[in-house]
Amino acid sequence: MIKPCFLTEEHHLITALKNPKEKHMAFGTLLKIYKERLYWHIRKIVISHDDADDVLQNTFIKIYKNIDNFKGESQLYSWMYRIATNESLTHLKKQSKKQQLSTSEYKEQLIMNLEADVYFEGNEIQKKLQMAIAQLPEKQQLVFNMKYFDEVKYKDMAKILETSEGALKSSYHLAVKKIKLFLTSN
Amino acid sequence: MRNKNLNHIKTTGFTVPKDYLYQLERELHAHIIEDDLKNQHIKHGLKVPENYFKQVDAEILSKVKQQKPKVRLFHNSFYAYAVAIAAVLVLYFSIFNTTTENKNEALTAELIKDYLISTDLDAYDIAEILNEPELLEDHIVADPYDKDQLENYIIENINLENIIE
Repeated sequence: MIKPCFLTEEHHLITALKNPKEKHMAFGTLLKIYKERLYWHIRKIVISHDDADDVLQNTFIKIYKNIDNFKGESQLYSWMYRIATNESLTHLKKQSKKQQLSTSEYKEQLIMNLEADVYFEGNEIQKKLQMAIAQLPEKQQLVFNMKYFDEVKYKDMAKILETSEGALKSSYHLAVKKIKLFLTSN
Repeated sequence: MRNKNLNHIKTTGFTVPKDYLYQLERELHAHIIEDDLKNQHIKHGLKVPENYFKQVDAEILSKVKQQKPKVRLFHNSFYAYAVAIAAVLVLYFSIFNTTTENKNEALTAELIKDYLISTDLDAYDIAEILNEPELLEDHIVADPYDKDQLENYIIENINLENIIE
């Protein structure tokens, strides 16, 4: 579940991040608060740890470089989640293009390699679940991962993915239905 | 006589519908999966190297220290809009002039505009993307328009830093 810092704390943090004298220290605080949840959000999209590490670092560098552009129209965490999501999807697209595969074929390949991945400790059903998720359209993958694994509330997800709660609920139910079908027929 | 026959009757005489046991197994399996999914019993199974979260802070902080302060090109969204429109026009004319004979196949300003709109870029981003129209043209107008090529070009070459809020 996303637990952003309290609004007043967030306000102070943003002010400090925009102040050149305090920026570096405030950024350290930001890293401490959000690095793990952003990492897991990214990791579930890009699958491999090395890729997740690269994307996480790029995400935070972009946050650092662009914090002055953050207008406060959304909450800080949803802004950062959006950057992390964009970075992850762009990374997947780049990698799949390099290998001349579609994004879903590339992701399927990543999951097939999970058994050899030292940073995967899942069993057969967990691997199959990852495979089932990879078959979903991009948006349903995001919604399923956020709801199922991270228990993100639809309200928060709506801000991050900039869509309505109703659309997210139907995406999730559709995703669960497809996953169930995939798991039982495989 | 009857008692003797009893010794030879080894079956109950009951039968099951064809594939019943196979179907039962499948249904039970489906039920277990449904229950696991519903109760979120299946975890993702991914893990991180030991101490990763302790070490990654230092790595990121050292990388951001190397970042130079960003100089904003446009402080005013109206100006950014104007530049974006101008850039689109420049691009339009440069492409149109070089591809009049083959414009059905070539990348046109309209196609670029549609593409940029579909990617939800704001005026500032569009202005940044199009501030070097010749470069864009060199890369993608040489060949007939190809959506994948255009997408690839944009992913590889365009600064997406501002596609954020």
